[in-house]
Amino acid sequence: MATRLRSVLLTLLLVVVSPAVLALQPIVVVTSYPQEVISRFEDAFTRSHPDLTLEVIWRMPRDAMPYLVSEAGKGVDVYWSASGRNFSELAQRGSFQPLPEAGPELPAQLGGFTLSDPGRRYVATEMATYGFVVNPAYLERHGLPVPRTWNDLRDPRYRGHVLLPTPSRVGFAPLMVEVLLQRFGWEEGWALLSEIAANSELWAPGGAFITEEVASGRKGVAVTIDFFASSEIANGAPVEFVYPDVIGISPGHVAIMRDSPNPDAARRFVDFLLSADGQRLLAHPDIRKLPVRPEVYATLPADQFNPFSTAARSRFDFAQAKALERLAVDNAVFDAMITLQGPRHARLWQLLHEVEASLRSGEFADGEEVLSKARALALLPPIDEAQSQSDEVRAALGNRAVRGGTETPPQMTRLQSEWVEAVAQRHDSAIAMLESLLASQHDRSAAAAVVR
Amino acid sequence: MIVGRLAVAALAAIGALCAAFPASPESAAGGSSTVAMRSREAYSQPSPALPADRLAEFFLGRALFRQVWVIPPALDSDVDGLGPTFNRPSCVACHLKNGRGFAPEAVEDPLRAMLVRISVPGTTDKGAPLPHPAYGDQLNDAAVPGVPREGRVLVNWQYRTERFADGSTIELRKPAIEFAQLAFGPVGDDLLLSPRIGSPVFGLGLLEAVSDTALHAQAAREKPDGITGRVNLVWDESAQQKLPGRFGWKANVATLRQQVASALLGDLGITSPVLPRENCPPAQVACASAVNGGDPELNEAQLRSMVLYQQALAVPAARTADDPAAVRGRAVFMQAGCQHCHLPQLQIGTHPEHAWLSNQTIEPYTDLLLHDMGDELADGRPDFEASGRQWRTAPLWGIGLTKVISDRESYLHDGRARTLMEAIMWHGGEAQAARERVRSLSASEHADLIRFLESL
Repeated sequence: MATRLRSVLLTLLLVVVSPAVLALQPIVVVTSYPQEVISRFEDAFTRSHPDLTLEVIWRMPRDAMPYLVSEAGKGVDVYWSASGRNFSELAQRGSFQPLPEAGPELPAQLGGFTLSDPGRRYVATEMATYGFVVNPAYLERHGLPVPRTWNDLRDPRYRGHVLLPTPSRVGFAPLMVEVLLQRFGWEEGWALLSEIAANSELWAPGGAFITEEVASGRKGVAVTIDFFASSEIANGAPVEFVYPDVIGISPGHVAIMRDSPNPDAARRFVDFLLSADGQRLLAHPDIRKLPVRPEVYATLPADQFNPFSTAARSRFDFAQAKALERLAVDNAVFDAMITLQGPRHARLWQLLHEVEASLRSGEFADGEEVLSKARALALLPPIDEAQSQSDEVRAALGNRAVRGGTETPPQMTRLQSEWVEAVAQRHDSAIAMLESLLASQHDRSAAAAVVR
Repeated sequence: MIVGRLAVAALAAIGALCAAFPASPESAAGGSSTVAMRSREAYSQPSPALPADRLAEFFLGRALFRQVWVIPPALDSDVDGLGPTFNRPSCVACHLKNGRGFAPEAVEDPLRAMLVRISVPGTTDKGAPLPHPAYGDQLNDAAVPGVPREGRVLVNWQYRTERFADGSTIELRKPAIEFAQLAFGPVGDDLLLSPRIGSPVFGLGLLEAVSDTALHAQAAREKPDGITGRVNLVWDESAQQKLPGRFGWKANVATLRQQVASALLGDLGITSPVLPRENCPPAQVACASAVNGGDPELNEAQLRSMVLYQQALAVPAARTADDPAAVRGRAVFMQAGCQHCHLPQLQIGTHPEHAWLSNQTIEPYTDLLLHDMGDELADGRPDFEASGRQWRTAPLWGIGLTKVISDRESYLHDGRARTLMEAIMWHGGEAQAARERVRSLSASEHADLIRFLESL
């Protein structure tokens, strides 16, 4: 037995290895991309760069920030992640080294959205957009049309059929809210969100994925970032993705750290991410992010959504800096207006829709005025746009946009409690107005019935 | 704009990827834990039998299985604890989409979904392989900053050609393993090593419900071709006793709780209530003094959820009946004698925790027993009762989806086989007679046999 073991070992060890193979240069990369993304890029990159190796340090954006500015962060070569706020903040701190100028093959802007830092301290490597994942069989079963625009989702026919991510709990959602607020305006944007929320169940991570809830037929529509849905579709799920009238652009970025121990190798990694080969990896069924290199789309399947060819359609100038600064404020407003109002929000919208339906059927013409007052109360956000950008409000709410999945909710700030209270009072008075309108109408109909 | 409809139509058109189909009773590979699905998510579905009130725990287990673990200290304290030394930072790195791992192609490629078990001759007081004094029981080729990685693994392929009876040939490759950049000195001449790719992780709760009696009865049953079959008896930390082994390439693990805890510690460096001490052999001083992510790093509730996740992952239904070639291939499989070890059906007993997994017939195509597989597959590294030539019969359920789900094929313990036929041609020892029968088949019989395996 011992001889046999030895002979097995000898066979196993009779190998000649070139010294180059042993002298791999490490590139230390901090990222929050999921394993599916990391593995594909690691594999393709080291295959085309056999003298280099990637050492991946995984941290969520909120955890990456303190790490990158700590002593330990000095060992990091590259930051590669989808966290616009971290990139913007680190660039302002001078934590990055400038990257070489890019040619027209890598546009810095798309449809009014900034993809890459004009100062070339960080550049976009991939993009995502927002829209609706829908289950056509479910919608057909419920006699509902496929929603095509954000306004379509306000239709009370969708009540109970929609999932809406809670921005303070879901990483992709705060920027989506900000896109809608900038596109539709502060007040109209909140009115839109409030009314869509009235039709929706709020979703937060921890259970089934938002796309699975639609694929399984528990809900018919979910508002989501596109790659969750595109990946689910590419993996065989019976759902479709609708790119609505406003899709936004959410880029992921890469930057080389100022103190990078291995900047030349780091640059080769960045070059790879931006190369046609690197960009094509984004189309993998388990990734499905959008390439930032327009010519790459020509090599992808024909059904691949191309934001470069549709950007003009929904173009508007998105103020990125303003967005990144007030994500935490938006979340607090959303929670005060919607999440924390719970059944009150639902009751209010149920009454509003009931009165609207009655008005449409012409039952009580004198309801118009009450309805419009109640609607105004329901849709009004707790603060106006000027306040949303004030230093005072931002300071009171901190700048953490999203809580971790298992984190306990932070103590509500006094300011936020005041907002919740103010919205509750408005909702309560609107509910009272609508209830009394319906009650008087009921009395009138009853009296009319008696007279007849 | 809708991209989904086109994509779905395209998927449906190529059949193998279509989302779902009606399951016929005969294709209930995993009994009540079967899903009628052949898509890329077919290994990732919760068992339809899983009670609805356990779904939340299943999803927590899934999140942890997909988690890329964080180096401590970190704000995300519930998912920190990676290292100090490790192989890969997540379970899914080696079990991508809950499927199998793979071996590196070129010598300079790092191990992405494979590891190398190591030991020195002898056993521990529990009967386990004796860990190497400086490197432990598997080479960790990654480490957190400030801690030396144990070394690198280089895989060189040696090629040879096998000939079938009809004159056609097949190229086989065998790995030659070498270590480089060893941080704690040479491994020594008496090192025993065994490369292992990640195994699929669905259907495991059903295998946990195979009774000890059934295992021993199958081992005792008389079989043709000189086939025997042996139950591995392995130490289980939670039970504090030896139990029949069911999991791992050498059936060297008895329970999923032990399997999950061992993999977390050995592959990721994450301590748990079952294995609460970091994996730092005495020579590795920096490893021992590195910051840890809690004591233990994975708590009991997290561990339980990860175990439940693997217990409850459903088995994709076979589609043999839909395909005449596959039906013919099944007959070829039987005539060749493959079914004496790759048992088409097993009657399972009472699962120790979950009634919903218990007492049903499943079609795993394994007997869970150890068999001498010959010199060519031997790793020369005994593991509890398993000799250096013995391996557990690998389950074949779901194997036909390998390419769809993993984007590549990689079979046998070290991923040497790039096709199912290569895997068959590596069978030796107790499986030699069956392999020789396969060698003598015609090209069309070969094609049918593969179609059958692909229908599983």
